[in-house]
Amino acid sequence: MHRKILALIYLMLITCWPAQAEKPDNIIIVPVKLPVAAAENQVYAVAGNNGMQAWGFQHRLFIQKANDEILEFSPANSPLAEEGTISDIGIVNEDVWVAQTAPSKDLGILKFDGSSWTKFREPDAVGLLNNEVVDIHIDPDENIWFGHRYHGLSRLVYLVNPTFKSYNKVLHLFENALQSSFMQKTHLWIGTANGIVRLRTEMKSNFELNVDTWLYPEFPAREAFSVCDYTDDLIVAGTSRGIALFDGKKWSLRGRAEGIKAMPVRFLQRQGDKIWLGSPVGLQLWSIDKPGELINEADGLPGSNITALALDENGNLLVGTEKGPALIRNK
Amino acid sequence: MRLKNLKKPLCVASLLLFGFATQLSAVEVEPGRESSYFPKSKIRFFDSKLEEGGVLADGMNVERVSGHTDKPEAQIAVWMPFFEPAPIEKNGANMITDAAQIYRNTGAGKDKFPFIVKEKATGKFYVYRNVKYHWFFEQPGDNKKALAEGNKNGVSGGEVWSPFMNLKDADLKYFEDVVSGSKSESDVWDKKLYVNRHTTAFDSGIRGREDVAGSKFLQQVGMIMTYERAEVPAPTVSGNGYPETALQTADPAGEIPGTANLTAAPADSSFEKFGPEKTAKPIPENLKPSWNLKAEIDGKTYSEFTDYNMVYVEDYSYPEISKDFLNPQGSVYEAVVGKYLGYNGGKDGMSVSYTNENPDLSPTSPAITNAFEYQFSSDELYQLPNPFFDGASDNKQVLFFYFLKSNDTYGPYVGKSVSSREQTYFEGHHPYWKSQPKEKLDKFLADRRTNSWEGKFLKPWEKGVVYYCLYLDGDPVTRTNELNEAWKKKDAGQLSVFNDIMADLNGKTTQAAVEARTCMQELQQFITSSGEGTREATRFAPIGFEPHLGRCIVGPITLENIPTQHTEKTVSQLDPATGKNVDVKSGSWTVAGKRIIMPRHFAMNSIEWNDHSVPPAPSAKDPKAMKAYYSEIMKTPPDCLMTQQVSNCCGNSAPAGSLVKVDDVAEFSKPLIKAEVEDMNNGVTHKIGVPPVESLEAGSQLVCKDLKTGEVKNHGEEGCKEDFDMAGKEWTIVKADGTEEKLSRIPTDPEGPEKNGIPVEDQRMRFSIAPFDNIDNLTPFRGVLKTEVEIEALDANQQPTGKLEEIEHEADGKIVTATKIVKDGSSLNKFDLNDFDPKVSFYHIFRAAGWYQFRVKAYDRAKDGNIGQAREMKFNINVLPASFRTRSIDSK
Repeated sequence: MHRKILALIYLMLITCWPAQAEKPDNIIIVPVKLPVAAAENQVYAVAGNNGMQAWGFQHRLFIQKANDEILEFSPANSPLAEEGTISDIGIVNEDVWVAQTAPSKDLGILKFDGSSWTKFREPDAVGLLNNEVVDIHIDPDENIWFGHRYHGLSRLVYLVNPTFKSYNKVLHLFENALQSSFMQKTHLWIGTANGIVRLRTEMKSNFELNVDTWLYPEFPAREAFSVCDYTDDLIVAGTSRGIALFDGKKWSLRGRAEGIKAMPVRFLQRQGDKIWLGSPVGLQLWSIDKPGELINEADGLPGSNITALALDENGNLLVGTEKGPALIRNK
Repeated sequence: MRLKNLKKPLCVASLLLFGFATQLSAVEVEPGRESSYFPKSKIRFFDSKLEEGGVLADGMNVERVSGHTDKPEAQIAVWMPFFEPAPIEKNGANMITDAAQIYRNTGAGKDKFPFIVKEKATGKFYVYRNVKYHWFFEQPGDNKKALAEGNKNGVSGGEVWSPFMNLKDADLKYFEDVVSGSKSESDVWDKKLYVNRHTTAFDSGIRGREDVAGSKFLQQVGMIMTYERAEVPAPTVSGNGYPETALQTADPAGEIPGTANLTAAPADSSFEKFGPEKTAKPIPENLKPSWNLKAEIDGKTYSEFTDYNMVYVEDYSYPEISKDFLNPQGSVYEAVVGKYLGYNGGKDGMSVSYTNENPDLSPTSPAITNAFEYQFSSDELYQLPNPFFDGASDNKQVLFFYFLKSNDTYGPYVGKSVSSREQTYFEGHHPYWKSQPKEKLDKFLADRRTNSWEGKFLKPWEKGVVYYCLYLDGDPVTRTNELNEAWKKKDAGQLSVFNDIMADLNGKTTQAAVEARTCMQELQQFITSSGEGTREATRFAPIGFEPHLGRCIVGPITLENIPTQHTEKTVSQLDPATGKNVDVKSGSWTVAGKRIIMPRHFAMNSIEWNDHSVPPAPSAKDPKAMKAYYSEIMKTPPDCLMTQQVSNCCGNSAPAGSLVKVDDVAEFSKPLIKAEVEDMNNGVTHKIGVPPVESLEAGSQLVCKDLKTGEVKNHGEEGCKEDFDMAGKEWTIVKADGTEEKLSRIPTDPEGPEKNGIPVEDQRMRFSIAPFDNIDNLTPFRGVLKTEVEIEALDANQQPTGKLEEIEHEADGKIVTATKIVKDGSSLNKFDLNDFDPKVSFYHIFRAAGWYQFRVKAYDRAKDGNIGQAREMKFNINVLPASFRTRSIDSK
């Protein structure tokens, strides 16, 4: 009887013991080898779409095509500026869009269509709000949103001669730097250095009447570095305190106490019912039921400081780090 | 609705102006937030910046055609009247109701009367002519400048009437053509439309629906419809009248279904005239307080209109800056390292004056700002032990940061130092380092960190600021914004990660963590209770690092629109174009001197100082050229450039620049010297030298006491200009809590407690001298251009004998002997100094017991590159006979 009780206790212990957080064992990390010197190996932006993967280093761009051909661009053979730093990349159809920033704040955006480059700079680029673009977001309808550091966003309007439409009446963006944008159906979420903004693009207006803004403490942190959606129409924002979740009414925080280790959460990339969190100390594959473990250089990433994230159409996670690029694939 | 030359995007959410919102699942949409201003107005316009919904989408503000924003005549609006003669009912979406049925006239007078209308309620038939829309635009007051010809009252419509208004063929190219002159206003594709050039700004810079609705600064636009109508006998009709349903577009494609055969054109006498008295309505209630527009038709004046609207005409004017360092009058300021502008009696603060030609600009608009930033080199590098360090490999043990110390009003300013970004600069852009071998560069970068200044001298609350800004790889911009919010509100609750920091420090037992908890509490206390400075203005600012320029940049700091910083008034000025006096806004911004905190470690005598000249600036009247000019300068800016962006309340900004020349003339400006004297026999090492201010705890004071006279001199906390006489004076650090720390001296008393450390004759000693300066300390030459060392024999009373010791040392790869070691880099040009090592190191054996005086002199670099300021350090050594040491051993 005594032994049975012991066995029962043992059984209870092993079944009730809290499940250990595990590193996802169904992924493989593949460093990406590109002809870049070690000192210049920091990845600043990545994008993956339509069979292409684009890797942005400071002022060099590599486009890897489906047939493994790699195109390399630098200031020597493209309009990429020597004094510029690539801030973001977006791929739509055959076009690769690149934004660069520099102290002069005047670089504008570039487009590579597979054979040639086009430069878009205000005032020549009709409708482009200004020349300091820090974020490119491609929404599910393949609209391209260019986030300017201050004053708003521009969207490409598909005409014979492309033009831009600017969204420059969101007051909050005049004083608070844009970090990133994300389209949830017709709601454009804009993460800023001070709170998060939702612009209802279905309402046509020049004014900020269709703008909602959440600031600390209603939004549980100051910066909203990144935004993505999640299951059940949740919106998730990456912050310096963890991730903030919005259920349509209120914001809540999942921080250290809730298992978030990849902090500050500068990058978010949704993959199904999970989200990759990118931070200066590594990656974390988070889901609402399981926060996940930290993945960093010790696990095979080129570096722990995550500097860019993107998902391509094949489910490959393109990871940029301070020490070089990598791909994360499912086994 | 099809728009020529406008391809629809893949997903178009077309929206009619009835406050209709698309419902989203699980996302709240608040009802009633209409997208248009004055939604009930049925005279509206569109300009060249079409909303996605097309011409019917909201047009509240008139903007200039893209690419022509410098041309007032390019501010074009096409006005649409949504009115037709009774009984036709048209709504603001250009749709007509079935209150009237429309037929195409296939009978008499079809050219003059192409349409016949049947009134549903009465069954009567009508034809119309001379349906005209009389447009009136508020003219600029006498005090306002009309920038070009425009705002001409006029008439649209015409003799022959159609109930339809063609908007589907709206052609955006039309605007370009009007600007270029290839088309005129009268070439508009539908004669009901009226084209106006809004050539005077009606823009007070305020935004937001409620503000704008009550604004007096919007342009009034009114329209009066007049027409003539004749009743005709019922014609034979065929097919359905249009609209066929309750509501249909007044812009159908193709022919309408129904026709009517007019038997005879009506006589002139049968036409009834509907003039303003019949078509006008009272001024809407919400416009009554501000409406004063009058109309004149056929010599009569009217104050009521068929409809009303108020329109916001965007202002494109830029502040015109006077006083810029680039123009000959110039604004060049002089400053002292480690202090602030105006400290040395120079100009206190920096002023920029400007004029705005739009006098309507609201003085309380939050958009009226001045944002300034200034830059200096990355030698302002400090270190503190990382209190958050927990031993994990991805956590750094030391925090490196850029820092400008607070004064009693502003600061500190903090920035994050990222080694990879500095490496990018030195490796890729620095004129000297980018061509150096990797090994040499790597050593230089590592030594920068090693030699960075200690942050010990920061006050505890200042350390709290550093920890707050850098916690968890924080962005100093956001963190300083929070600190500023907290400062202005006296509310530490604004600090979103404060509790996270305290939780992180909780339980950590390192000295740094224990101290950091106190520092954070001091910060909290400082924020909530300090009486320093002002709470009206931001106190803290971020420092960024630009890897292409290799410069740390403070700001941008946005000045508050408060009287101590900004003044503006309306003045009357002669407009040379018209010869009349117009009102303009004249103002100035003043950046307080204490806000411009100077670096301690960067000045005109640094090898990094960029003193290059720039080409003359274009005129401030040409903001485009000025922006391009500054954009060009910023590629290689001179030091220390301060730029300001002066904005008017329409958000248009103009740049202005000033130069700050920083002089290395502070108390701490002379070189410092570290000396190590090692007894090679017993391994005892004496470290002699006065530490830099940065290495002393906050509040510590340097005190020296003359050993002969007993005179005590307190040099305070700022450092010391005099030579370090460690022979005749005793040097002490007195800490803030009163405790004293005597600076180390070589023991000389053979009866004293340290007698075993006294050198003896015939024993090899190693002397290592490492001088460094406050400027260029992080370079290989440590800011020292020349080092001189000598050792003089003294007599028994420690008086000079004039006899210098022969010192054997290595020079140019050879061993030489001299009574004075000189290392001199003064003939080298600035970047070659990176190959100069001012350190002196040699072995020496004192062959005779007695007193000796060791003297070292270090010279820094002057701003012309020649020898600069000098500091001498001297100390006496009592060399005892060799037997002293033997006796000492025997006595153990």
